[in-house]
Amino acid sequence: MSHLRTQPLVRVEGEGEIAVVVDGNNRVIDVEYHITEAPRFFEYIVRNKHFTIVPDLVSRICGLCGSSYELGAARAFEVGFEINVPEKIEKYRVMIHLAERIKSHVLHIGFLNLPDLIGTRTFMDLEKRNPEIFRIIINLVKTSEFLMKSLGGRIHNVVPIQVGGVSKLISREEAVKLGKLMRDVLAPSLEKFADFILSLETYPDEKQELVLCTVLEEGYPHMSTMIECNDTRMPAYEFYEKTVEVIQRDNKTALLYKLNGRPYVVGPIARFNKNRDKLHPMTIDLLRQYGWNRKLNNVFQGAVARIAETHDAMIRILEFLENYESISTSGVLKPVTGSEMNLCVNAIEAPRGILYHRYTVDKYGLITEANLVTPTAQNIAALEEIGKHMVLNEVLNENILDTLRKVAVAFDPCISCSVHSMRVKIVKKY
Amino acid sequence: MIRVAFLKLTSCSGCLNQSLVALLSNEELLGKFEFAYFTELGLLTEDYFDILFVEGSVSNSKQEKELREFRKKSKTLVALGTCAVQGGIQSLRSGEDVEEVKKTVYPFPDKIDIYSDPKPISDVVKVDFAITGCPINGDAVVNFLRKYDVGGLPLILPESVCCECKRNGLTCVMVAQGTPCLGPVTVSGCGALCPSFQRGCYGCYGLRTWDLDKTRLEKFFDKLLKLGAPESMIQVIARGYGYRSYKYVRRG
Repeated sequence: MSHLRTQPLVRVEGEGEIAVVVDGNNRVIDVEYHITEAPRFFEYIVRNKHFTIVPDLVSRICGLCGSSYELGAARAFEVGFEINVPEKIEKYRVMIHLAERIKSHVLHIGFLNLPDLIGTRTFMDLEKRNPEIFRIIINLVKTSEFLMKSLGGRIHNVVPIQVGGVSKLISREEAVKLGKLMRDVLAPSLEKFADFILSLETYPDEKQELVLCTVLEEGYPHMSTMIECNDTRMPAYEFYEKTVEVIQRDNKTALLYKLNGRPYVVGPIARFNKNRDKLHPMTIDLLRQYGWNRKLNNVFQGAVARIAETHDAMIRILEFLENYESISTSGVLKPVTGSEMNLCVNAIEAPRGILYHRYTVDKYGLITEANLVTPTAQNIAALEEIGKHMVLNEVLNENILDTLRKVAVAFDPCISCSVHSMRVKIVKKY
Repeated sequence: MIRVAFLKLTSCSGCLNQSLVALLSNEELLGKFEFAYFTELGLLTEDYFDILFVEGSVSNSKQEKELREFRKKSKTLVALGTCAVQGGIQSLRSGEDVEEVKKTVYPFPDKIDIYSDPKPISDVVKVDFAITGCPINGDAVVNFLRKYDVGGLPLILPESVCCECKRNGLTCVMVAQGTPCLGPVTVSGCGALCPSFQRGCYGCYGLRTWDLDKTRLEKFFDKLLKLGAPESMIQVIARGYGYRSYKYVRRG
């Protein structure tokens, strides 16, 4: 006889549940991570909408990585319609994207992940246990918020990113002021925070064999139409529309993604393990000081990758602001005379991993079909495999639930991203 | 300590994050307000709340039940964000055949429990105060809590985004550049963000209803189309962000 026990999944974005299946002897025979989030059908609501407003619509998919959606969608249309964005303007958009990476990683490590690493129940307990780190985290959150607001108008659903460029850039004076603030406030806080996180000795060290996927780029992964999975490279379209399997489980709103029958991992750990030599030289130095300039062994060490990416992003934004030139933005939008059916594809590295966009646009500029694949949807299968592997055949107790919860938090699932793929191969699980 | 809870329904967590950042940035509030329920922070105390903030719209019976239960435990309920107040961007599928909608996303659509139209939370429970926005302006939550602390509520100015443009000394993007802008019919509160970035407002705070009627609204939409706005821009406010208000305005 088997019964099901569930508990709400806390310290993740959005709503989910862990289901543990046990046998008559109370031994764990199966583990499932459920997303209980109600779907919002973004792939449906963008249909028949003009492509120029789509970046603003899809940014509402996620309350943490909205700019990745905006930029990802804008670039998809620019690729599809061969719109050239001037290099300096593109760089500005990349900075907004990097600022978002800082914000998202700081929130994740500070509020969601840190309690597991230092053994407190919640972030709020930190106020008494380590008031200095508590203040530093708040300070980092505040400064990254200020950075997002200065470059993009607000913390998410940023305003200036549009198909073809940005609607307005900050002035040289504003950039200098912002650069100074970051150097005086953000940089020292981040250094202390990095010191704290990189010195922790609580990371489990067992090796996990992971299939790692990122977008393929010359520099540290950011945005591309090519995907690299372990050593295989292929166009994003082929990878997402023809290669990965999409599975919908009974009664569940989330779709699972697998590659050749195996789970794969996207996100900071995938980017870091494959490309850490492409991080900023100062970041590599920092990692070396703490002995972390090596491959991470498992998902629990993800905080290291997040700190490295946060540091890298901060240095790059600082350099950008301190060498800032004002650029005129007049006429970002070009009228489009597309063909009957235009395929617009792009893949962007959101904080949590590859975010795939594909839109088909008719000759009036209206979307006829869309497919969006979110990072979390891709990680759920891996999350489940790792969680299951750790507790299989053990007798159910509180520690088991705690382990499973920690696995989830380590992956930083953002289950608010409630869009799901609409295609294609269906694999029967049972 | 005043006990505060944050409940999430169908939404993106954006307003929750915005509130969290705003609260943590105001230390004097942290000394007066206590987070009792906030799943993102791992806080799950469910006994009673002085203030319940609700993010998101209601899109299935499970959420409806949860919302009713939380309402019973709370003295004051605040709808947080355009989704909770008016239904939000997901309302763009309202009025469509829900079975068709499901089919576009899921291989097994019949397994998905979902209402045909997303509901604003006021369809289900009594709402004491509403803070609109997509996302909300964090300052509005801070303002609310400060006023609550001294025993009052913030004043609501019934005005459009235009008023904020004027106060901020911004040149009208529609008059000066001919850029289609929904500011004149959109609820204020963002600080005229889009015009300050040289673009037209797209209505994410929802449609203003106090002094609009069907004829004037349709005339205004016609004007936008003449300026070259895509039809979708109007759909986003009339059938998305401002869905409920639009239905209401069209009746009168």
